[in-house]
Amino acid sequence: MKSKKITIINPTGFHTRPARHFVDTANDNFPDTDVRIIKGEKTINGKSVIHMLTLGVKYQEEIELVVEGGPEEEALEALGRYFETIYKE
Amino acid sequence: MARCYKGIPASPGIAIAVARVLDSCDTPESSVLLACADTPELEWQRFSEALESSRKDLESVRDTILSELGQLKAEIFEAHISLLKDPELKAEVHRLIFDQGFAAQLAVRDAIAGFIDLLSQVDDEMFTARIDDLRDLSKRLTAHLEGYAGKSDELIGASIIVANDLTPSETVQLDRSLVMGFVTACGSAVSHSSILARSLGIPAIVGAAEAVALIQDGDLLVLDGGTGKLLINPQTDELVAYQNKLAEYKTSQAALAEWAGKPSLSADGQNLELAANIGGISDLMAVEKYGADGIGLFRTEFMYMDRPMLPDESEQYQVYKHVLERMNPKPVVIRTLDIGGDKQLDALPMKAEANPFLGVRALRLCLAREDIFRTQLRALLRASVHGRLRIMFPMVAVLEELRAAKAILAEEKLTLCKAGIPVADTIEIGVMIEIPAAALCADILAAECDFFSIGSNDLTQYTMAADRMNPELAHLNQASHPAVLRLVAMAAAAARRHGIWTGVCGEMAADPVCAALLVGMGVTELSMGAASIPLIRKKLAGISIETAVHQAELAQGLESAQAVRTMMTGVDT
Repeated sequence: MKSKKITIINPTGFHTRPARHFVDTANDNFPDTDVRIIKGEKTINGKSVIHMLTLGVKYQEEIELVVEGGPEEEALEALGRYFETIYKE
Repeated sequence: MARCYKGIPASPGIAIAVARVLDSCDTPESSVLLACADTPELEWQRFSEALESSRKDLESVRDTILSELGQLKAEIFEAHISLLKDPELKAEVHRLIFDQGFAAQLAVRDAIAGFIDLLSQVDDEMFTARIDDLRDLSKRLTAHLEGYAGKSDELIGASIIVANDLTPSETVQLDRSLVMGFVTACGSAVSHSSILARSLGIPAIVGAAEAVALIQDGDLLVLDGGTGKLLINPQTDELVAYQNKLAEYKTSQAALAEWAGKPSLSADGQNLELAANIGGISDLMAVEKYGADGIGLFRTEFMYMDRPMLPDESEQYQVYKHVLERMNPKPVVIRTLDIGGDKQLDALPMKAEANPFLGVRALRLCLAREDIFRTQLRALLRASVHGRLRIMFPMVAVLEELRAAKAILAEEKLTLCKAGIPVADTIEIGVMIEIPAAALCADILAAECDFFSIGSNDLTQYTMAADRMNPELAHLNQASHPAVLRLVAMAAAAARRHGIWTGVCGEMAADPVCAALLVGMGVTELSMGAASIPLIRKKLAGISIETAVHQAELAQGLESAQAVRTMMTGVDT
């Protein structure tokens, strides 16, 4: 298991589009990896768009990305990048 | 008798047409669904088939939108397709079918309702708007499960659609040759249907529950999507008034929309730069929509406000890089931190001052707090390789301040270069002319910078010694007063003598009267809220430089701001 703490820098938070791309990448590129996202006391399934949205990640909030199984190092790097980007609205 | 109602204005424009009330398809009671459940295996099979049919629908809607409205709008349907694949949704439906013995319809409805509940608890409009996506999906799956998908209400002639709610897919499937507008009982200005209505150019009012309940099929409706006003069966005089308004609106919109895509030229062909003022990345969409020639003022202070910590170098770098890349090859003027006066930071408590507008603000503060200034300059320098960066210092009163700021910038540049970090070779450095002292000694400043940008709001308040936050002094805060015009002319003339350009980034630039005068004084860049660009571009295209120069000279000799306006508009305003 590997994990990483990330602060959201996108001014409008982490909303539908990046969430969807994140989930698609998690499902398509890392089928054997269990992906979880922790914010405060909530832990959610990083392979579910609905779960991602219920987390409501906003600007300046800190989340923890946890990956388990499969190519963990790669998954952490590839998936972490989605949280560290500024998106075109 | 006409009845007048008010809803939420969702998409501007006027529509006059008969009402077509869409029947809501009532879904069967839960008890009925529970009773008619087949074996779990069969229900699961039906659910899987409905998923597959829904996916096909959505892909075809997405392709239509992609070709008509482009990638950005098609994203909504991409999102629906992703939701269909959601493992948590499938898991919940599976649980309800196999553990509870639910029919597929009921399982879908309950599962999605559960997720909507969860989403409703998220306190953020961006996320709660996604609830619409889930409702749309629930409707679609249910329609496939019950076998009534694909049947839509036929429209006979031009109509205004009246519905309880419209899902995004229903909105895009509206026949645009016949649908003049729509009214719904639910929704908000940021719900997808409203956003889509705006991009499709369909006038719309949402959240008008009272009116929707009363409207009968065939009623004559007048819908004003800009104000949210809705008339049911209007009287003749009201109808005529709105018909005229509709004709006017159509003409003005068509005329202005055309100007968003045109080059910025005076009547005799001189190139002008009509740029946009932005406060952050979220303003860039409007910048693109209204065809700005660049960014003339990026107010970076918003990045520093309402937060407990100052933004660090990497965060700022990301933001600047994004703006520069997206605008490239168009230029971007980024103003260094301008706080103090009416703008305070949570992260940087400042001493109370008797006259904050005359206090330690903007560049004065940055020179006193070099650490903050250096962080911003490093981020700017690093981002400079991603586009055409222009750096502007606010509140420069004397040459020493410009020199101090430039020296710090040069030091940071050297440090970065030594560390092997690339920095653009040419970054234009500008001074904001907003203090009369700077305008009066503009020739001295012009010798040591690459451009001026006149901050007309502050220049006016400092020239008039009239606080612009004080409504009782509004009559003194007139940028078109000859006193202000003379200072602007002085700065622009000094700039020209030194071979540098002058811009304006205050309200003055967006005022059609002042814009022409500014051009006449030698200003070549005007920066304003993006939405004003088409109007100003049209205005300036009708004026030759010669005329503008003449008018600017005359205006400076007039006795009052009022006299200037009267001369320019030909009417006593």
